[in-house]
Amino acid sequence: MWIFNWAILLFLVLIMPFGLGMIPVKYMDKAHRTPAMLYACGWFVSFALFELVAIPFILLRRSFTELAIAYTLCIVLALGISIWKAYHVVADCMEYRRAFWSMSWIVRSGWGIAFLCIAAQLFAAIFLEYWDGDDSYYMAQAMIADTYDVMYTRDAYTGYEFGFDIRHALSPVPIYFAWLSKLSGIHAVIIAHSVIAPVWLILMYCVYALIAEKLLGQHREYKPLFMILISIWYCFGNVSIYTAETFAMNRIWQGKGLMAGIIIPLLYLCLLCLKENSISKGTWILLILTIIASCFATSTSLMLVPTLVGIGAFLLGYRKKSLRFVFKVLLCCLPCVILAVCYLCLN
Amino acid sequence: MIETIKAIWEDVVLYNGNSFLLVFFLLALIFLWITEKNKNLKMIFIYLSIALVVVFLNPIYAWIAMKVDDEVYYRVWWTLPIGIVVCYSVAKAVIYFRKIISKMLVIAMAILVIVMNGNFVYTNTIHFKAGNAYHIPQMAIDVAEALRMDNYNPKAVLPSELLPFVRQYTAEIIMPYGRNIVETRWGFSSPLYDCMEADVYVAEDIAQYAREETCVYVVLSSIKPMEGKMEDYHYTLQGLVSGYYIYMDNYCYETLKEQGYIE
Repeated sequence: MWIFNWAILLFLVLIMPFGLGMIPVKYMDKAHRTPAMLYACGWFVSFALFELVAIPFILLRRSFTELAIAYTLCIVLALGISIWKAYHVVADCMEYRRAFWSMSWIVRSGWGIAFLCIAAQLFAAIFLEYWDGDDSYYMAQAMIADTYDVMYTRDAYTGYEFGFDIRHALSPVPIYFAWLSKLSGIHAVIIAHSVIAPVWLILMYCVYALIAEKLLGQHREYKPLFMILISIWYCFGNVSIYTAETFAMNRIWQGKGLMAGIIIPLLYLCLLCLKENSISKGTWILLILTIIASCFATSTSLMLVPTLVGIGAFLLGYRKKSLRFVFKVLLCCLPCVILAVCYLCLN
Repeated sequence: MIETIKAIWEDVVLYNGNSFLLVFFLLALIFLWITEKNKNLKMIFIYLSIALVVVFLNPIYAWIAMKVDDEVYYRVWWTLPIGIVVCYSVAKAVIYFRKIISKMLVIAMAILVIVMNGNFVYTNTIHFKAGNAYHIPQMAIDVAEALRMDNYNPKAVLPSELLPFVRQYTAEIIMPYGRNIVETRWGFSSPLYDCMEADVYVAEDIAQYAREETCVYVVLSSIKPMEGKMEDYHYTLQGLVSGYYIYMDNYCYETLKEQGYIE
């Protein structure tokens, strides 16, 4: 029976993102149709959909079961549409496999070393544990949703019923884990600490591989070097408890770790894609998904993301001499503005 | 405003720790400014970073952000692409050199600098070999399992080392206080917590305050000395689980038995 549970969970976290990612990737040009882009887009479709579906349910104090049913239906629909309309992008992504074997042995060795560095971190994520006090809030909220079928109406620390935790309710990462737990039957804490930790590290390095492609496109043989350096950078990034690297390596399953390690680099990837003369529809989709996902991750994104993306928009708009471009990018930040207004009104 | 500026500066210093993180970032930015030909890349990495620093050091911006939550303003520094810029700069430097030996030297030096400047994240002071798939102490799981009851969510008071973990394992155990009381800056307090964390347990005080909090269970560490006996104050020892004594309030026991929660 447990094999069945694990099969469901591994499908949800390893296979399903590839399916969900097909729609955004379909609207990207061929150069961006890579397995890493497919996987990253799939996760962000999942996060963004969850944020859009969960917030109304949470604010309206509906039950967790109702949310789980609604979100599952949305995901199944999204997956179905993705596969039906965009399955052909998989063939484009598979060309990368052939490209790997055409590289020189030095480059392939470089990639081998990069994969080893990352594999070591995945091993550590699964077989080492890190005790963080914030989990007593995060994971308890996931357990409360699973046990009492309510969301953010009980104190995570004590279990008492209380008002409504609006600040954390707008970033329902724990409820996402509760959803994974409900579908798979596996304990939410096992999912977060032993499964999501390594899986989101893979996602993080997928994002960095995509950044490497944008930065070193003309010197692709140096991409593995960039990946090795980034993995070592993260490994030794614990210069203080405040750095993004510390959060990403120690607690990537928490919304703030997701923000630090994955979402902010993905925003930079979006900016690197937006700097091009021709911007595909898929890039705009990715930007919107990332911004909505940033709200899903943490409420600090409500101010931080519009700042980063807004300044980036003005600078790139200045380069492109296009006010229209600036306006379009700023429009993508609307989810942050709407949720910030929500937060201020309900607080 | 002065307080805000001080807080910003403190955040920068704390973020940097005892390292040259921001110095390396600055050097990498200067390197890119000199060598990067792609003006769009310069815009995204150099000018955007400068603009972000100017905005985040702005006391007005900081004041607004700190109004929402002053404890987490350091997260604004996450938006600086420090890792990307430094690693990209190294890659560019390696590309510049033609000879393999020069490239290898640059790579080796860069890795050495990153390692020497940084702090290995997997030290055995913060990462431990996982005892179970939950990645929480097994003793917390054992105690939580011992406290669980069918059809009833009991309230239990626990030692502070168990507080962060029990409700991660199961939300069925209610507590009079949680990990929030351990964080002194959050300003929570409880006489029951003071008794539980004293150097010596005083059974009479614990029994009194636990009863005031309507706790069904009291969990006490077996290695801490105790003045008096919980049994003298109408508690029954349920068992010793992973080094913790679990006591049940006799009055709660009678009530739960009457209501059919206990056989």
